[in-house]
Amino acid sequence: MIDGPAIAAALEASAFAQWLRSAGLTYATVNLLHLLGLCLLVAPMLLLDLRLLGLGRRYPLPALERDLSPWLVTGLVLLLVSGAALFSADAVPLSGNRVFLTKIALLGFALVNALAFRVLWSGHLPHWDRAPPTFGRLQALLSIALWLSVAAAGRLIAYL
Amino acid sequence: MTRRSMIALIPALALALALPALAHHGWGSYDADKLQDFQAELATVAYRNPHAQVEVDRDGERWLVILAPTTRMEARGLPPDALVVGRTIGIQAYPRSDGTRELRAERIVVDGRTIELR
Repeated sequence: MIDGPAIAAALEASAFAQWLRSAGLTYATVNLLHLLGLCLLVAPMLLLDLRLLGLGRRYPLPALERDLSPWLVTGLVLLLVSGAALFSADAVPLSGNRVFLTKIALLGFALVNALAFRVLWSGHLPHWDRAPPTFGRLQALLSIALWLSVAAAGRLIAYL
Repeated sequence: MTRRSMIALIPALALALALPALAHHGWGSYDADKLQDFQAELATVAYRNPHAQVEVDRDGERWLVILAPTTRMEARGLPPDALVVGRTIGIQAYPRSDGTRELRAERIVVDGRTIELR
């Protein structure tokens, strides 16, 4: 059986987590990388979702998707790596923090939504504008709501 | 922009507008109307990021006191060796509104020197 609290305690006590908490700008730097990752993920994600919802039809959807996706994936990887590091610094309190757990649940939904979109519609993008699927558009709307909520929940960990 | 696509923007805009209100509410987790001003001996010291924190015993209860990021503390003349277990310092801080025994320090007084932490 997986012992969550013990894992969190071990993570928080690790040399890596101690280095993150140490005096100096380490923690702040990782925080900035997390913010950079957020910008790189959310900006192309919003542009793509708005395009799926029917805005900016003069930009061909397949080309837009192809050009924006690398940025978005880079942002996501940066977010996951820096996020895991920030988590390790305070693993014990965070793993019991309701705002943090809400954020992780929302993140799970957002990732499932994004992956499902890719599986369902990536072949459909060239003729999206002729017959935009209602469910696909709902997913784009959900994507906007979910990613902004993940970002908001993340920021609110420090306040609520 | 088509009428339909403008309507699709409404939920996103509503969410964006709601966020500052939520964030503002966050300061409410400490009660700024109940400034506590007291002397206490440091029971534990964690000189760490994202903010340093100490524990003090007050009226038989242990309180966690949130200070500031280490870089800010150093910049204002509070290096790690300024806060050691057993030293008595002055604390001016706000308590959490939810009853948790946690304070957020506005300023502390160490060796007669007042250091603003905000």
